[in-house]
Order: sequence, then C-alpha cells, then structure tokens
Amino acid sequence: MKTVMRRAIMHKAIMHKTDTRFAAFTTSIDTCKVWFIGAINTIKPAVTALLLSAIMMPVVEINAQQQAEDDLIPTEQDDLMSILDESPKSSFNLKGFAEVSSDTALSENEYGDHSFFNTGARTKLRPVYSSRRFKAYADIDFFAKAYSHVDQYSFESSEFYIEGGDSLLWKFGKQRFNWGVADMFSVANPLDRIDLSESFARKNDERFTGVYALSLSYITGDYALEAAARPVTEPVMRPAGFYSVGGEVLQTPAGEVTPLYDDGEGERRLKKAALALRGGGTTAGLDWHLLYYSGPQPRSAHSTQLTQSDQGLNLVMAPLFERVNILGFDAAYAVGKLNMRFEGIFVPDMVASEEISDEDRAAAFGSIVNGAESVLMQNGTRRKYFSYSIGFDYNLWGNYGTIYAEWMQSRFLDKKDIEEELQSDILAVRIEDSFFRQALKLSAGTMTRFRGNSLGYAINAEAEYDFKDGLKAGVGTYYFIPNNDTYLQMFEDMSMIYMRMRFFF
Amino acid sequence: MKNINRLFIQIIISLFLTISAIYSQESADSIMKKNDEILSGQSFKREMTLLVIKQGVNEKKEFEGFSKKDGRSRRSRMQFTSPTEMGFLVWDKPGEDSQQWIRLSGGRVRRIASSDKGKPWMNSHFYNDDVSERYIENYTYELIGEVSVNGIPCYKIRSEKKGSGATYSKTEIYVGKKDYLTYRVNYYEGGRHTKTLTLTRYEVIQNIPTARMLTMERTDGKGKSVLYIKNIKYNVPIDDRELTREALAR
Repeated sequence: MKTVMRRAIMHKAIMHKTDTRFAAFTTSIDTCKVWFIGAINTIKPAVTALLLSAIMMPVVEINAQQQAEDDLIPTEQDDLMSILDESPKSSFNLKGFAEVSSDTALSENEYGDHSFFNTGARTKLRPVYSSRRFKAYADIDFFAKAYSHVDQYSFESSEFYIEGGDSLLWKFGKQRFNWGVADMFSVANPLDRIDLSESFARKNDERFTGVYALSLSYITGDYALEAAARPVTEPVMRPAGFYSVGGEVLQTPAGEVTPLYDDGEGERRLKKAALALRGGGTTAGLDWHLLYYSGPQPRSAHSTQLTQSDQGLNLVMAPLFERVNILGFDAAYAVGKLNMRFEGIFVPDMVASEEISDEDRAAAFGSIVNGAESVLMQNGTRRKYFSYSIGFDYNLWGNYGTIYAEWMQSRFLDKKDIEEELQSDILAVRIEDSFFRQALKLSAGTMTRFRGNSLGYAINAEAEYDFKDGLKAGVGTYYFIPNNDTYLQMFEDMSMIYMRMRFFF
Repeated sequence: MKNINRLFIQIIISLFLTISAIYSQESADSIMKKNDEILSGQSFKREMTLLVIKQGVNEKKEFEGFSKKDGRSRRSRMQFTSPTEMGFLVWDKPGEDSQQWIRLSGGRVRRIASSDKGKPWMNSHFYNDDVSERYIENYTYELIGEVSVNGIPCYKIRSEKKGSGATYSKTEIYVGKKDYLTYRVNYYEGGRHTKTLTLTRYEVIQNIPTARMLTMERTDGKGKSVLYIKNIKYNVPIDDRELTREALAR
C-alpha cells in the first residue's frame, strides 16, 4: 500500500514536476525502484499512444482527407447531357466551309498600283452518305474570284467517289491517294493531280487534288496492297491568277514573239492511262511502302515550237506527259521528340526538256524568216532520274512549339544538253506554335533554294486565330528574295500579303 | 516484475491490434490488381462525343471508336465523323512504348512521336498518352488514404511510372472500396496537380461496368473536356485489319 502510494506520488510528480524524479532517485534504492516502476507505468500509455499513433497515422489522415475530399462533386453534368447526347447518327452528313480571301501584291506595276489584287469567295461542300454497303463522298468547291483584270467563277471537285467492300476495299470515282509521307515536297505520289493554282493561299494538304480512278485495297495483317488504275491523265492545275505561265512579249531578230502555253491538246486522253501498285505497312515501328507506277510522268517536260500565224510569231510551249516507270519508296519513323520522314523515286526513263542552244534559236528564227510556218526548237529526251525528300519535325518547346524541316532534291543522272530541274535543291524550314489555348497559331518559315553560288529565298509568316465557334481568320505574307536563282525568279513579283476568313459548318 | 509483464502484454496486444488493422486493409498493389482485372471486354465498338470547353466555348466532335485485345496487347482506333474526318490509331503492347498515328483531315497519316504523347489529344484536355493502355506493372503504387468521391468510399492510391519518359510525374487514383472501379484520377506534371479526370455515370453493360462520362478538367481553370459514350457494344467481332495504319489511311 505504501509502495502504491509512493508510486502514485511519484507518478504525479513526474507528470507535473520533473525535478521530483531526480530527488526521488537520490533518496534510496527502494525509492528508486518504485520510481522506475512508476515511471514505466507512466511512460507506458505514452509509448503505446505514440506507437499506435505512428501506425494509425494513415487512418487519422484518411479520416481528415475523407472530410476534405468528399466535397469534390462534379458539377454541370446534367447541363451537358443535352449537348452530348443530341444528334443521333445520320446516314447523310454535309460539312464544309465558306471563305473570303484576298491577295495583294507587295510589288507595284508600271502605273504605281499593286501588280495584282485578288479577292475571292469560296464555298466548300463535303456531302457524305454512308450505308452498310457503301459510302459516297464528294468534296466540291465553288469559287467566285475577282482578279486584277478578270472575274472568274468556277466549280471544282477534288473528290467524288463511291467506295465499299470488306476485306477488299474498292473505290471508284475521283479520289485522292495521298501516297507518300513528306510534309512539303511529296515525290512518291504520282497518281494525284498536282494543284498549283493558289498554292500559296492553300494549305499543304490541298496541293494535290483527286483524279478519276478505280482503286483496290487489300489489307493483310499490318500490311496493305493497293492497286490503282487511272484511265485519264489530267495536267498539273495551272494558276488562272497572278502567276500564270505566259508573259511578256519577246523582242527577237525575227520580230515580236508572244509566248503561249498550250495545255489544251492531248492531255486528257485514254491512252494516257496510268497503273500503280503500292505495298507496305508497319514493321518494328517503321512505316514503309514500296511503289511501282507506269503512266505519264507526274511533272511534265515540255516542247517548244516557234510558229507563225496571222497574229504574228508565237513561242508555243506544250507539256510532255510521256509514259514512264517509277519505282518509289517511303518510310516514316518516330523516336523520342523526332519524327523522321523519307520518300524517294527512281525513274529509268524520265523525259527531260532539251536545252535550247543559241545555235538552235538562231536556226529556228532563220527558218521562220525563210518562210517556214513552224519550227520545233525543243523536245523531250529520256534520261535516268531520281528525286527524294527527307525531313523531320521536332518538338522544341511546350505542346505545340515544333520545327519542321524538309530537303528536296531531284536530278537527271546525265545532265548534258537538258534544262536544269527547277524544283530541286530546296530546303524548307518552318516553326509553328500556338498561343492563347490553341486559339492563335503562328508560323514562320523560309524556303531556300541552293543552286551553285546563288541562294534564293522565300519567306512566309502566318497568323491564324481560331474563334472556336467555327470561325477562323488568318493573315500572312510571302516574300521572295530570288537573287540570281532561276526558279525563284519566276516568283519575283509575287511577294504578297494575304488574308483569309473561313467559317466551318 | 508483474508490472513489467503486464506492460509487455499490453504492448503486444496493442501491436497485434494495430498490425491486424493494417493487414485488414488491402495493399495498393492488390487494389490496383483488382482494378485492373475488372472486365473491359475483349473488344468493343462505341460511338462517342467529345466536348471541349475552353473559355466558355463548346467544341463538339463525334467519333466512332473500336478496340480489340490480343492477349494483353490492345489496338484501338478512333474515327472522327463530325466536324472533322481525322482519325487516331493506338497500338499498345506490354513492355513497349505505345505507337500512335493520326490521320489528318486531308487523308494523310502521320506518326506521333513519343514526345508528343504529352500533347493535347484532338485539341482537348486529354493528352495523347491518355488514350493509351495503362499497364499495371509499369507503375508503382502506394495507398495514401481513403476518401469518398461523390459519396462512394474510395482508396486513394498514388502511382508513379517506373523508369523515365513519363508524361505525368505522378497520378492519384481513386478506386472504389466495394467495386474497385476507378472514380477519379488526379494528374501531376512537374509535381503540380494539373488535371483531374472524373469518371461518372457508371452502367453495367453486357456485365461490364462502364463509365459513360469521362471529364478531364484542368485545375488552373483552363477548361475541361468531356468524353461521353453514346452507345457501346462489347465483345463484337472486329477485323484486325481495321486496326492498322493502312486502314486508317484509306
């Protein structure tokens, strides 16, 4: 009892007066034992409490969190349901956009005005009908354009096809193949028609337009085999506006000569049919395709005739779309931040334009002076040819800060007595980024042509704002610094500012 | 001596009680394993709506999605039908980086670089990485609490991707205590909580619990995106050929 009382006293002392334990320690051994036991009894709940609290801490934390996070309740879901669940799927769908645009030249003509000022309106319709058996699709453009000197109304259909099939997909009608992987310079896409009309004012994916064809596609595993027959060859779409081929009257020893471009004869004929086979797929992360094409060459060579008519002398250039065989390859691979692309073709029998020598020119004018009605000054000649483009895109910063670069080169293996390949040795670099929650997209780039000692440049900058309710507006500029470059000199007076506003529906 | 014995007995009982309390809770790995084992179907086809809300402006996109498993590998394709005709293809395989392709409106197909997996998916608040399969063994898990989400008691589990190259520095996954379904995920980038995914409107469709609404909301107030499943059919036959890059391109 005495011990118990002492322990109780000691307990109290430890709890409330720490000095007491030292006093008790020095009093006697017995007292010391009593203190020790009392101390243990006193510490025991504390140790146990500590132990428990350490172990049960998560539980305490859990209870605290449960209180806090239970209040996080999603809101507005019911309000959204009317938007999310509306518009049941329809077999017919119509999409498109309406656009107004203008291009203004930065250079001036001899009267001090802008050398061109074009305005235009465009309506694109994309009706699509889908059923279990087939799908019918069209991509139709209506243009109303006011060029510097002429108004033009036109209708274009870049695609108009019907497709169906299960394991073997067939597609019949005007269609785009979109072969190749290049960002800017696609060389392994021989079937699609090249559209150079307004190529500056259009997006990259509009630089090819559809062709009339029957195509079959069979997929097995991760690979596909495609076959296409194109019965009609259509020429490259030439611009009707500001940089159409043609031009200034030439003063020659035989008198004034007006250059003409004859793209009307013989270009849409059944004998200009093309066949193509393409196979490939994905192997170990590499997307690849092999291509064989037999048909008119995608980019024409040309012949030139000097002709005499009642109106005077004409230098008539006519495109040559001779049948060639193309072997092609494309591949794409992504590693880390880098997305790499390559496509290339080899043509053993490509037609090049012969070079017109001074002697040829003098002989032609001599013949005309002597009464000949026409003289062939230039024709095509077959040579081995290759062309490739290699490029990448790399994420520089943030989500959208990306650089795109692409190099394109084309060569005839034997360059003797032929005209140089103009669209070659071009490096295109572009940087894009988006701001204000992807509403504002900015891009700037250069196109540089390296040829000999001469460097020609084209600079492009564009800003596009997405109003997010279907409306997009953009402004941009192309500025050409051709220096002595023969290709970019063709665009010397084409530097311009363009504006575009599109409403998608 | 008697007191010391009593003390030890009390400590042992305390330890036993607390340890048994701990072990009565499941481990994070066990919870996530059960979460992972919930049926998701060998294949599915679905029609979905993606609603992107930024600055109060709604941008609505409709697409069809189909997906098929082969063992633990999964291939999924999303084909947009309105207002764009873009498409998206994902190949997931355990132990390998997800492979992704995008079909642009003009019909061209581009491969998505692995660094682009942290980029917004279809201009939404989801990232490209979010539409990839999440393999349980690629992550570490830690149970950090128990909370209630919309009145549903949940385990809160911290998860971090093993190795480098993670889009998110960590995630916090809220798994239902009763049904082991995922109800919420907090995403952290650079240690900062940036996005929250909330899974709601669970329905049992063909015996498979299905969250019909997935809302990804940014914590900085920069909007949210809602994925809504209009209809879904599980275990339907899907031709493997439809889940290839070549099919995406045509």
